Amino acid sequence: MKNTALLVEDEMELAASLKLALKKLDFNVIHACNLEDARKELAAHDVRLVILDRMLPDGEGLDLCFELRSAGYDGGIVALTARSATNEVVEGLKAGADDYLPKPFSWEEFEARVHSVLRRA
Amino acid sequence: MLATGWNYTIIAMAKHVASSSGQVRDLPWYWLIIGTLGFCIVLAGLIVFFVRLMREIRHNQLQSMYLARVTHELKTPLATMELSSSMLRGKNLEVSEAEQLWNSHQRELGRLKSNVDSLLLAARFDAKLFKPTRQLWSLEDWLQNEFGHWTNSLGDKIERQGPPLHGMVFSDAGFMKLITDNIIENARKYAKGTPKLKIQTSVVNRRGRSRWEIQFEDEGLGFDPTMEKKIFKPFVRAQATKTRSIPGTGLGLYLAASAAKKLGYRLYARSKGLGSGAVFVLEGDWA
Repeated sequence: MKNTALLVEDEMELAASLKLALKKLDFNVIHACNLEDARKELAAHDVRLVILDRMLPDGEGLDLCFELRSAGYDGGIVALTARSATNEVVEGLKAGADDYLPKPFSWEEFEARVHSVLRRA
Repeated sequence: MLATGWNYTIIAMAKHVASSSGQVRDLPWYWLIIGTLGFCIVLAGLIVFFVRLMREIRHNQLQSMYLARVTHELKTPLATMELSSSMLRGKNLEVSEAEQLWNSHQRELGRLKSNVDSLLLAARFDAKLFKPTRQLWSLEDWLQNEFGHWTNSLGDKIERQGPPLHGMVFSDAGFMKLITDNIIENARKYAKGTPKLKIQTSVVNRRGRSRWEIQFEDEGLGFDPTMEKKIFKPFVRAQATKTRSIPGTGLGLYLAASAAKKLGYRLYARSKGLGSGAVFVLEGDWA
């Protein structure tokens, strides 16, 4: 049975490419454009991996990350962001992300990071 | 109360000086004026300091917002392009998947180009390096030509009303296009569903002078009436973006306003509130 990944990304072009990339990694992919939809999808599905953008229309992606970890979520979380300063990476990891992937990134890097996170999750 | 306190302090000091010299005499009247002036100077200094501090804080906030938005607007299309190109290079893809990635790559390349152009243009306006090259041309001919481009951009949901603007203008057609294209793009981006636009032309009289006016009325998200002037500032997003993100650097209306200012035209906007659409009005002189 395939694992389910939740992609939380409001940029449609990037989301389409990421959906395809996750399908190639043999995931069922659910896509949410904002935090509100992401919370609904998380409540409705058994999600093994969350790919989470930080700058979302209705708030900061890391808030969801923190909520998930506080609620005991033990799946993998990869934070995607254009913000890659050291303090921002630390902030992301402290909020509970397993990995922090700064934009831009290649397919090879994305694949390696997803596998690495799943091994640990 | 502060002023009274300050004056009492000055008076008390003066009396003390007078007492220590062995002679108590009435306080001269000018001490009151000196005290009041001194207080006013200190108060004015505090106000100037406070206003400057607030400006500095606001400036830093804007700079930080600018950096975050520019970083996001440049890196996001780059991320799509790098991901799609690396997948196209190294992954076994079906033809439809490869086409999807390629098309996405091309759209994001266009977006990146447009963002870079906007940033460079804004920098040129800010540095006062961008000046109009004025020529004499027919406003109506130009409008008809541009209307064709706008129809291509928005489809058949664009209509024109009002009399033709027959007459010549001494202006820069490139600047005019910059203004109108950004207004049209704004209407397209903030549309609720299919963008709809009404273009109303008219000739108005301002202090005895005849001027042409073009109104662009959209049915998009609109903005809060308190934001009428602020929406022309760089990186300002007046509209609610709760349900989706709206791409762009947030510089479009700033560029339009800067170009209008250079031409000596008036560009303003009004809206009844969020969800009520917006009207952008461009007004200028005949040649």
